[in-house]
Amino acid sequence: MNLRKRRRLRESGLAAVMLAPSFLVFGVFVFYPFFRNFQLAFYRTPPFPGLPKRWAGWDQITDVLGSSEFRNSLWVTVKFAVFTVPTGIALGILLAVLAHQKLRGISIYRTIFSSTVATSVAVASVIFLTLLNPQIGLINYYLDFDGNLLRDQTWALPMVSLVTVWQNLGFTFILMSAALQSIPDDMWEAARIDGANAWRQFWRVTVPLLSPTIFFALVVGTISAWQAFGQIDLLTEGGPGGRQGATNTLTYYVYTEFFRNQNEGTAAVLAGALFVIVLLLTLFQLRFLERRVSYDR
Amino acid sequence: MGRVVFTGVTKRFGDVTAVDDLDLEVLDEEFLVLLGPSGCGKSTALRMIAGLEDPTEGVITIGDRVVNDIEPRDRDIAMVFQSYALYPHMTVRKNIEFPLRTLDRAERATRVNDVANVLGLENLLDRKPAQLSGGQRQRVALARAIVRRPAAFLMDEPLSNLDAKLRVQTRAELVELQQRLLTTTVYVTHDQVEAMTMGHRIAILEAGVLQQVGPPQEVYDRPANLFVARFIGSPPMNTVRGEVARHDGALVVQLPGGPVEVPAPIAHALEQSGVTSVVIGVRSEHLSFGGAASIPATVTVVESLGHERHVICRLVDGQMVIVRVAAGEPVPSVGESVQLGSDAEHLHVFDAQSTARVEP
Repeated sequence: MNLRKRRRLRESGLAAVMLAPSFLVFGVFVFYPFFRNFQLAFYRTPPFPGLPKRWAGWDQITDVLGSSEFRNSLWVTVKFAVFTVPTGIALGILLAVLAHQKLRGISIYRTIFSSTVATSVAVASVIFLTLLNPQIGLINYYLDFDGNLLRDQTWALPMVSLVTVWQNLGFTFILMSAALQSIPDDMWEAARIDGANAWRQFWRVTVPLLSPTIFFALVVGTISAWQAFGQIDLLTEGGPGGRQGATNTLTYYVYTEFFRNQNEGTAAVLAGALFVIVLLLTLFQLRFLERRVSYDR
Repeated sequence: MGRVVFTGVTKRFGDVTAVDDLDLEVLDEEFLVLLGPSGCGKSTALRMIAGLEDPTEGVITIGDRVVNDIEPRDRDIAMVFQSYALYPHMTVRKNIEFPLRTLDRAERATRVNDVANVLGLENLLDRKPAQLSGGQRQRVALARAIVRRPAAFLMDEPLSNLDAKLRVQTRAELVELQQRLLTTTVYVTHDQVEAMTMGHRIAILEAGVLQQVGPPQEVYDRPANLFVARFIGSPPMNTVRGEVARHDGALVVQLPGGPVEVPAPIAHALEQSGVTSVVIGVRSEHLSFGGAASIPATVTVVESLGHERHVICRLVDGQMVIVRVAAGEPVPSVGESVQLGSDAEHLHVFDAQSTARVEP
């Protein structure tokens, strides 16, 4: 063996050793569960613990994906994403534009606007549980709503969405603020001189120059909407409405199937479906929406 | 009418006074250069014309209108930024077209094509700014300004991002363009060569205060004070401190190494004003070796620029003086002791205290 070959062999050995820890972690927590999930999807979980699992093949998959519960959770999740993602991005841009001014004390507002980043889902949920409390809640008071909004078939999902938008707003605000600050001021100055009013400056200059960030927020926001769990668990537990619950999103449905009903098989099918849907959505966004993004600087 | 007038304009940023009580008139169809070192307030003055900054005090008029409270877009001006400020997401065509929103589509297309022809951008109209070279971007920025046919062009160091060779070429093109369009132009630069070569008149600012306004040659020949004298010209004017004294009954200036006679009218003015401490200035091309009224110096460095040489000398007290010698003329060697002389008519005399030019 010549010298170079020997050196290359030694280097790849070293590389393998260095990669091993992360490979191990990923293997245990990502790769194994990932493939195991697809295997589980083909086995029916027995009605009583202790009985052997039974091979079900595609039957279980078609059963679950054809069920009205699945369709309900799909529809709930779509609505949830539509309620939260565009609203969150729009509000984030609005606050960032408002805070992007040289005013005395503006950093106080910047701090306030970004503060929800330091808030956990649990804290946000507890705050809103108080605000939405039927007896003492401010939101109920102002809406003059007599009853529990989180137990209301119509209002439960909008309220969960409200909490989510509020909780994510800090992150979106920071994202948009950073992007705005990277745009040189003379872009707007040139537009002002070139006859653009504030409205036209916003749509023709600010939004296109923010488009890479907006796109990023859209992709990340959509994925996180499909994975939302904490606020639903704490605020509504998927209800009202039981298995056809008004806030029973796909992720929450996976959770109840697995941990409450202890049905590994259906949970695995649902989790697989969730994976495929998020993958397809992201591919769609990258393929079709990214065309409208301008990365030129 | 593209006349731009500053009347008593002051701009303060907190405690900093960027522009101090500026009175300046830019004539219609004039090319006026605002010149000064960085931080002198020239860009702030320009931005006040544009409406990007509001004056703290004073009045700015464009044409016959006071524009203090008029939005930038309604001022009928166009600006070329140092960074060009092209919209990166738009094609060259869209960039140039941007200010023309109020016109109909056909008119817009005609105007854009006309301007593209003038500036040689026809083949670049469908490209994005990122695909252009620095010089091309600069021309697009220029096109976006002239396509509006504004009352005045405002240019903020538009050549400073170009390499040296392109800068010289573009300089001439800009002058040519202004001569053709006859649009009032206010041009900001810190480069005195640009100012000398481009402007009909130069306005020199320092620390927010207007120092002198005048045609380039006048500013060069008769600088109003020491700052202008030292700022205009390359190499800068030689300046040496001296004391007013009497020598054989005549009034002279005592420099390190010997007395120097000044022209009679200036001597008279010095006598009248009672100034005792002065600074004598002389341009490097007006100094020669030998001559009648001369002071001793030692040659320390000889720099050759090809077409000329700069002989750097030190006076007896260590002050530095540069002598310009045309190529082919003999130059002394390093270390040699020389006598530096100049015709009295080429001497500039400044009051050391006030730094103002002493005039008959």
